[in-house]
Amino acid sequence: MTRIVIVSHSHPALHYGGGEIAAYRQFQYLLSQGEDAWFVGSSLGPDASERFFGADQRILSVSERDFCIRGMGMDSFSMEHPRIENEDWTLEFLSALDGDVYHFHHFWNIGAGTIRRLRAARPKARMICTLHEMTAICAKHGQMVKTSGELCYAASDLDCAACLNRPPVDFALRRARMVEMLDAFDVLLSPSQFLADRFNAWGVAPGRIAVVENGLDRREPLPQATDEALQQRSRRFAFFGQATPTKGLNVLVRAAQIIDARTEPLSVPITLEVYGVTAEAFALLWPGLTPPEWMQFRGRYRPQDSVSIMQRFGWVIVPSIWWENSPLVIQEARAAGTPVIASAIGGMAEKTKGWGLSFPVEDPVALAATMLSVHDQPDILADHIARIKPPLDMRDYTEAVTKITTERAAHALR
Amino acid sequence: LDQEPYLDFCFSVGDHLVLVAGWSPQSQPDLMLHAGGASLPPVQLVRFARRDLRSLVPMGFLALFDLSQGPGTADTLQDVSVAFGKKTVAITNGRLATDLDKFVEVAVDESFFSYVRMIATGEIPLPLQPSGREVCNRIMAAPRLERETHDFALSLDRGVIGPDGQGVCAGWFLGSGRSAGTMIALAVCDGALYPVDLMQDCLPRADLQAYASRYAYTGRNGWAASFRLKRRAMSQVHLVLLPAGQLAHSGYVQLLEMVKPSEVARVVLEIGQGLEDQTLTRRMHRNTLPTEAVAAPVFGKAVVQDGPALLVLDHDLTDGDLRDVLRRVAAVLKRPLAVHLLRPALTMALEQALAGAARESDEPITLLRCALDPPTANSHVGMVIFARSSVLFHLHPDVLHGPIEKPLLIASFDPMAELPGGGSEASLTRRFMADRPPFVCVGNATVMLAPDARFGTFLTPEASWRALCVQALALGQAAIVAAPARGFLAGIRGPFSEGLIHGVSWHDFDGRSAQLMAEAE
Repeated sequence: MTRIVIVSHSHPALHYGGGEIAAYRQFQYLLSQGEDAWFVGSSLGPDASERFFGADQRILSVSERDFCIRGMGMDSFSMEHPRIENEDWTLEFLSALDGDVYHFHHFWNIGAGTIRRLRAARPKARMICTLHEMTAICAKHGQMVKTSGELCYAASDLDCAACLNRPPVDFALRRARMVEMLDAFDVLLSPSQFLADRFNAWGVAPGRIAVVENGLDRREPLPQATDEALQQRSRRFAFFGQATPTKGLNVLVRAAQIIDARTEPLSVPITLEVYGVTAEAFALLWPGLTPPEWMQFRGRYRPQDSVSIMQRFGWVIVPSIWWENSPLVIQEARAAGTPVIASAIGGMAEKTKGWGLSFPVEDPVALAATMLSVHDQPDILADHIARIKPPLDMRDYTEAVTKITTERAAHALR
Repeated sequence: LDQEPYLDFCFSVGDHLVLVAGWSPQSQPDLMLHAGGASLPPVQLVRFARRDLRSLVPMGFLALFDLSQGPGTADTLQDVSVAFGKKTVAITNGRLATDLDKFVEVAVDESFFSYVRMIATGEIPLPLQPSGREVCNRIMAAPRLERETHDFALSLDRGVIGPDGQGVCAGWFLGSGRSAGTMIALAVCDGALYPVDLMQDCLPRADLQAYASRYAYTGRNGWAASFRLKRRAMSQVHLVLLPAGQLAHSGYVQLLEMVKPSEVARVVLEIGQGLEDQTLTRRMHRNTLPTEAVAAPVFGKAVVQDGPALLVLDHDLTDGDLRDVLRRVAAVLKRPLAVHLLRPALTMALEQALAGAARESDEPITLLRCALDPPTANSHVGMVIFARSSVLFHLHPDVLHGPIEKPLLIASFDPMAELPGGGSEASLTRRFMADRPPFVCVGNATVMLAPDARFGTFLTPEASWRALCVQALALGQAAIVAAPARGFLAGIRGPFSEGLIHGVSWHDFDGRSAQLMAEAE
């Protein structure tokens, strides 16, 4: 049996982000199918490690096949372990798992050197990497948003130097290191065409990256919504996400303020609920912004509940002010049968095409107009729901990855 | 008083120069030196008052005669006499050779310090040893001037000396109205005297305004001085400032601060910023550099291209990036690699980067040394490579792979070489000298690590090796190739890229030094 080692930069038991969730979902699915699957995550850095690990403890065994290694802190610019002993240990641990397939979701906390050396140490293993963001391209959190706040359309050594106030040669060397690291993989996967295009434009050879959307758990087909339910849902809007500036919650609040300030009141009440952010956290981030009363902060939610929560709403709003690649929220909205209103850029535009609505990024006036155009419009809602195709489930995802990996291996043999 | 001049001493101060010390009440003493068949008047007559004569009248004199101006005099030093009007004194018993030591031992201060001033101004050569040591001893033992008298006030604000004898000083001098005069200077070290080029009234000093009521204040009373000792200082170096007319004292004597070469350079630049006249700026810098050309090493045979290699690396990237640079070089060379890292200290990041590169290399990578100085002559046998890390990062592997048929190979990152008419070896060589492009240099240890005075001339080993390359190219002992320079991005880290002052790095300073030396040749 093929031994598959799923490696993630983080462990969802400690930190919940899109990449590690996708990785863990893959691991659980493979286990459920009786595959010889193993999972290796990491704590995010020294602070998190101190909370979960003993003084010299390097590893937490979450289960027999599920491990969280101690993250020692890694500068995402260099993407290398600061101490070679940590790289040695990580390499030894990964090698000891004796995988036939190593599927990496991200490489932060793992390290470029570890990946190069693993490639050299296990030349027959198939190595896969799913690109969850643009860290290899952009040293500013992989978001391709300039320090000035502008969206960045292409990385270059000179532009990046100006953006991050470092000499251009730093970026040339970083790019060379990242390209060399990506070359170590047999298969590169991207969950969106947008992300693949960015990597291709940056320097990855055309055809090297295959686009496969992250898989979701399989769900039963959604029941047909009643007219009354559609009527109710068409008046309800929701936001799901974290309290980080790039998620654009401030844009949504400004849109809500514009709606609230209309001289002609709405004939039917509108509601807007925010999941994942508390009112206090919002106030800390944007102290000058006061949401209207009909906007409610619901705070944290269990990720496994997201789809069922979304089903209660007519529209999920994704107002991110960075590109996003393949937002989990959009996938979950598809699973919930809830259309999305999203910023018209990057992965959001790609993933909502045909069934969602879009508005110019960072434009609260346009967002307010879009919300009002569908508010209390059950027919429009029904039309958009009807256009939603279910997201890729784990079975289809696994089959797609296996097929690509097999093809690449055959091609390499030729 | 007898109107005849009185001769105290008569001695040789150089191949053709004779100095006569004495006194005369006459304002224009009738002095003549007879040598062989020639009769020569003094080429210079210095007058001064002598306290032993109990008069303020300048009766003392030093008369300098130049025998080279008389036909047939050069070989007649055994037959010399000095005429005072109608009276003639034969210089017998080898006095020309022995009077100097007596003069240094017993001459009155005014005579002796007039003699010292003639040395300082270059009018007579430096005394040979062991006399030179005695001159120094007397200077250092004599009463010294205070920094403020009725006649003047002065200060040495900054005086530094580098390990290779490069000295720079600055201060200020205010003379009284009646005896302003010029100030000259000497450096004293290891029993030897060295002339100092002192540039007076060249620096604005508005801060001395408060002295205006007592001294001749102009607002530009700052001075700058620079020099280079003939050899490295083995003991302390003193600067002796010699204000005009102060012959009863040795001068204002101050110890110079021993500093690193980079600090000397920094002081050169800082003082230079205050100099309005750029010729003075260049002169001050030039004085700190050697005047004699460095002899070429024995270049020997073509580069040995097997066996372990020594990489002397100016790592101008982030510390962690060293790993990638070494990985690339090791992958190309495919042989054991020793690394001499031109950094002041092995940081943790550098150490880890070395270890990381070694983990990924099939051949050993070891650290030979981490220091700003280049490797010593016997530290390696075989091939030596010098480069900046940023250069190696951009370098095409073929450059290190191909056969090297001369004792030195230079790969120059010259962007003009890629232009349609810019790739000839002649133009490449010319720009390598003039434009100072980044380069890689490969040679045998016998050439690259030969003891070389260049290493004490420049701040960076790179400049020394560039000078060596220039010399080798001129002698046909080096091959130069153009490395593809399109897209080259320079590193700006490491001590040599740091600014000595704003906008002038160690490399920039070395470039100026090289240019000044080239202009002097």
